[in-house]
Amino acid sequence: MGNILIVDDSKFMRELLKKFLVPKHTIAGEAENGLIATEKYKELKPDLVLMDIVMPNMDGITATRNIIQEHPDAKIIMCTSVGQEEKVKASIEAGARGYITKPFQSDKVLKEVDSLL
Amino acid sequence: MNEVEKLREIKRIADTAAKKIADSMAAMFGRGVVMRISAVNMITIENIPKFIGISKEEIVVSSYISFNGFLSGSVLCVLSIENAREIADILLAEMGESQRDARLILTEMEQSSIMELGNIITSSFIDTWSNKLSFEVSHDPPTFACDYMSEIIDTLLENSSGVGDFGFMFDSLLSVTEHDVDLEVLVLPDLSSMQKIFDSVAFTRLEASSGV
Repeated sequence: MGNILIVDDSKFMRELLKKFLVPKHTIAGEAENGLIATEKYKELKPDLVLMDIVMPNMDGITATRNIIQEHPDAKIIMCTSVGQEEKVKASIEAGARGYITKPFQSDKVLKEVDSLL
Repeated sequence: MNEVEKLREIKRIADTAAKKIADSMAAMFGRGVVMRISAVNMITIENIPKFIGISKEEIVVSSYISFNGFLSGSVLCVLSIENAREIADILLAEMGESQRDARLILTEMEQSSIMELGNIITSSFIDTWSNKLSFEVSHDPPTFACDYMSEIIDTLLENSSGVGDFGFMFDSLLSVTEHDVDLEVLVLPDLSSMQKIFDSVAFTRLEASSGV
């Protein structure tokens, strides 16, 4: 079981991820962009972050880089749309530990999350 | 290859994208989903309402996403309020959130589900085009609008100033289990991107026919 921070600008996607994760895991909090995610990480110290890439204000790659800079042990999984291989590569370079491709499927999300917890 | 053949080839690529969209939605919601594109037309932005058969005074729901990279432009998905409610009901029922607020045209969650649908459609279209034509394109987060058709057209025209005001309109039908939902997908590349699409399509077709 882990305490997870969900970062996605889509409320719909945040709710969908919550539905997949609970009750096996708990939700530490939610953020709708990278800027809020960086602040919430400091405040909540979650076990793991599910981070969307394309978001307004601050994208997920920049947020990952910022979080890893301050918390090198942070476990971050990127959530990407199909066909964004370049962004996946940039995310891994920024410090992400894995990625999940949208559209999400419950079993794939849980498998990736469980592999890091 | 003449213009009609190029449009046919564009429709073939769009059919592949439609299959990807249906597969994505089916995987996400565990339901049978089919998306059919009945026609592709090249139209001016001003003529969108006429082609869709929606009056400029009618209120519609739309999701707008800009894309950039080798190609730039935008993708606009347009639904009637009735169809938007129907698709939101289907998407949210899976999450146990199908309650409607009678005071609102669409609740925040319903709006978010429509934007996510726009996201899936845009990603699938862009990804299919990227794979077929070997280029990289990324896209911005979606913008939701529930407004008069005339206002949506005006915004599109404002955003397209300095670039092309032509686009591809894909007449689409999304079938989720028992429900059929009409959906218009408009891909609006800028002028130079439009030329690149036509050039790439002709080249790809030539490669295919010569067995390359």
